[in-house]
Amino acid sequence: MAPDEVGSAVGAAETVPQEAGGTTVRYDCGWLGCDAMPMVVRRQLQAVEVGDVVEFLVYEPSSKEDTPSFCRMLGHRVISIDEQADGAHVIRVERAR
Amino acid sequence: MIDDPKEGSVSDRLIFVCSHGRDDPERAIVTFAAASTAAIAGLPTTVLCTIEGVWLGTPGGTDGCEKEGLPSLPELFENVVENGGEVWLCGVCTRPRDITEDQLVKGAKIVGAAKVVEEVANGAKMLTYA
Repeated sequence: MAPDEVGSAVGAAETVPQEAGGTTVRYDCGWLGCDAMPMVVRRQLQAVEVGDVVEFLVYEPSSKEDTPSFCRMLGHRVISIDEQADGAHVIRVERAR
Repeated sequence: MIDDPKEGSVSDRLIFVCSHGRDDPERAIVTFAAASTAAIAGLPTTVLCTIEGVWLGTPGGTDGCEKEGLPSLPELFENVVENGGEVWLCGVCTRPRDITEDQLVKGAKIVGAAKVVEEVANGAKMLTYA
């Protein structure tokens, strides 16, 4: 999928309660590249409580590689990385600090 | 699920920076010559291609990158990849050149700054060879 095709809505966020308590926030990063991604990811993780999960949907190739790295550098825990049928990565991150 | 390095993992990777391609073949060739040596020696090796160097990770990208008396860049590139090395293409540099992940050669992938910074913070060494 190309950056100008339908399939992502940058900034769209959805909050889902977890069974074990806490919440999961789903955030669509769309085609944000490594210039914009760090600030967006940091803001999203700062906006939730420690123990909550943010699920980033990422289409941009460099951000697929960068988002887990950046989250680890912030001290958070990357729970899983899965590829969707359309090539996007779903990166689940727990706020750890 | 996609494999990913774990938190706190130590990196002993060597990262060779290559910012040139057809615009200055000699600088690209000597960088890949050094990276090829590292990969053949069994060291975790990455060539980080930036600016015009990102074309090297695309089909035909090494065509015309030659200089008399210097080794073949396509062969050096193959040495790196066939010996477990990786070629990372700077995402900021691929985007304005309309290079997408479905048009990369074997061993090449598009990365951003955080990937590189994390590797270096975990101990990787960056080498500018040309």
